[in-house]
Amino acid sequence: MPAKTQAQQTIKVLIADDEKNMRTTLASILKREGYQISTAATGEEAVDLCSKEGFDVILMDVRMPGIDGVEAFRQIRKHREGVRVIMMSAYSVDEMKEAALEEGAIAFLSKPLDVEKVIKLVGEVKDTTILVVEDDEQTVKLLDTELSDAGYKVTVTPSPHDALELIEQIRFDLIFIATKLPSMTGLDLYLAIKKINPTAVAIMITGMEEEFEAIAREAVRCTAYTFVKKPLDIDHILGLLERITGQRASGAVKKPRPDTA
Amino acid sequence: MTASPPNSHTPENFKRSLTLRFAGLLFLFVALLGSTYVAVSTAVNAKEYDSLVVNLAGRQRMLIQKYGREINQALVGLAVSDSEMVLEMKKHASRTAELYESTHKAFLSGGWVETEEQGRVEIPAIQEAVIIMHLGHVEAEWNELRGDMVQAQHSDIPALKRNSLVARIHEQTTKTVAEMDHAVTLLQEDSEAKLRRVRAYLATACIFGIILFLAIMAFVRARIVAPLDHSMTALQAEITERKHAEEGARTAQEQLLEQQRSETERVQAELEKARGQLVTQIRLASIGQVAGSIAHDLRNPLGSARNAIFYIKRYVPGADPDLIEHLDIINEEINTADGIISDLMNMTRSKPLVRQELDFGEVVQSAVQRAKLADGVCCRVTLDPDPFTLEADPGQLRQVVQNLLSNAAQALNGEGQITVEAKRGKDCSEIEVRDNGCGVAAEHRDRLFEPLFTTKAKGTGLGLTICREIIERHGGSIELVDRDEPGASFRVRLPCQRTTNPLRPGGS
Repeated sequence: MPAKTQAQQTIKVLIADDEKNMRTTLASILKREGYQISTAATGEEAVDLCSKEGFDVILMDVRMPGIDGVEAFRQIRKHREGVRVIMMSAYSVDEMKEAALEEGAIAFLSKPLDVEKVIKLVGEVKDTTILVVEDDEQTVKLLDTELSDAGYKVTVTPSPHDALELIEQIRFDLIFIATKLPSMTGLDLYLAIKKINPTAVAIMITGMEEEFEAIAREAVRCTAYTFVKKPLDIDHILGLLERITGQRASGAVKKPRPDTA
Repeated sequence: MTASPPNSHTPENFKRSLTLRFAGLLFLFVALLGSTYVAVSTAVNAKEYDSLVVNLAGRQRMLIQKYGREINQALVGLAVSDSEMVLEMKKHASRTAELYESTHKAFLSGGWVETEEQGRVEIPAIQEAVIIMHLGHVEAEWNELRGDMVQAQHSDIPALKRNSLVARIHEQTTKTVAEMDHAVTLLQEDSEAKLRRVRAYLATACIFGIILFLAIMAFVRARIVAPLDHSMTALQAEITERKHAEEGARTAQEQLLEQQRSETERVQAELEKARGQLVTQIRLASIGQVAGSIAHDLRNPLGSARNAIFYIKRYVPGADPDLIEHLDIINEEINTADGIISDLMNMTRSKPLVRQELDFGEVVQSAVQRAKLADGVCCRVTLDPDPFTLEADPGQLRQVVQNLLSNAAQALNGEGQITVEAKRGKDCSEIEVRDNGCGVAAEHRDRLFEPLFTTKAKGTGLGLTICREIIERHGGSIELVDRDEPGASFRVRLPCQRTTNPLRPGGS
């Protein structure tokens, strides 16, 4: 169980689901975790509540009578730009998923929920989540330590396949992608990630060799944010992150929609 | 090869009939010429006879007149008193004259004449006969006369006068006979020459006519018959050619029909197969639709139930181990229920393939973990080469392996050996999952991959169907393999060659 930080006490959660028992059980759990909970039984109710007060995160069921979860999300975002929404659905492969992620949902979880994951996501809602896909242990350790110390929530995986699985469910604020990976190149991974989440922000990590730099440049050409070269300059990276998250916090910049490469 | 029907209009027959006709015409022509020749020749002959006769008659008269006078003069000169001798001589002379006159008349009148020796003789034949007769008569008569003259010489007639007279008469008669002879001979020769000439002309004309006829025939043949024949031959050749072509076309048509027939059969067989597949797909799709709507309905309550368990386990203090155990049971069952829903969903809504190059060993490890095999079940993995890389969707491939493993585990009934082998085939990877359990009964073999078919007491019967669906979407194949040892063995083949971009999502 993550330790309660100062922030958590003020985290306000809205649970929107048409099933009463789902609302009850989720609410009980999250209350025990120390969050402030409100509930809504329909999309319209959720929109209504959001217009009256701000929530840090909304747990939104996709399929509801009346307007569906994604539509409710859109409407809420009109007035509250930076709103964070975690979508829930009984369908593991839902057509709504793409739309939701495109709109900027943090995550798309399938029911029955992995409650631990829900708790973790809600807890990190104010944090910037970073995924590092790199198999070079040194680099991994460096990034993990430095970035976590800086207050970011870091998830690490050496496997591109696992990375894709994670990304399918959770939106990371930022993804570091190594250009050299087992079983596929960083560019290919980036393109696959973009297919799942077109607005993903990626920073390529490349070594000294020219071929990898070329891959990194190519990724940037396909609208990866930028690339950094090893050995990593942490200060430079932290500065980058501040700029990106600064943009994020203001909610102004959604990464320019990439054309289908 | 069809025989040409007996036809009077073939070129050979035509030629033959034409030749026959020409021959006939030629024969007729020759016959005509021949008869003309004969007719003309006869007519000329007759005409010649006529003119000959006239000539002869004229001469004779002349002669008769001349010599008659001479005789009379001679007689007068003699002045013989012996009336008996004179009478006799006169009688002879007049008889000769009469004879000549009658003969002359006969010549002129045509037809026939009465002769002493030969009786009635017709004029054409008379010529020679008459001349001979005349000569004979003349000789005879003149001999008589001579005789008489000789007698007269011996009676008392002045001798000198008598001698010269007799001599003169003798001379005259001889001369007359000779002249007559000569004249007749000349006339004969003349007429024969004429006749010969006529005959020659006729013959020449006939020959010329025949040659002309032949020339015309040749001309006709060259200008008319030959081209006709030529075109008929050409026509015949063309007909033969056409017949050949027709044969060829007929044969080709039969072949085509045969081809079409076998093609139709093949197409029909394929259609049947496709129809069967379509039926299966439709069944799957309709199951999918039902499943889809059920899933949502089921998963919501399951979700709430799970949340409640979580809450109790985590937040309710003083939890009794018994309580925990039973809560775990509930959780487990929720997972099972969710698993069943997942199976249904997977089968009906195929996730698009995200092909990657993957390490098959890892996939098997992950599948073994998830399959939660019983302790008595031992799983052996053989990879050749090791590590074994191939291209596929990792999640879905893991699902297939997991499925095969759990089927195998169930067949082993908690105790036994499962072997997973991977090797390279020709342009494909071959994976085999084998167990030494109870095997598959013969009557179930064909139905193994059917949706909703199961030999287990529990189970959706969708596991193998899903496996096949996933593998086939990868372009591969999965089948039950015949083996001598007991147990079941499934062979999966996955194609090797792919494009260079491994991340292009394949699948439906």
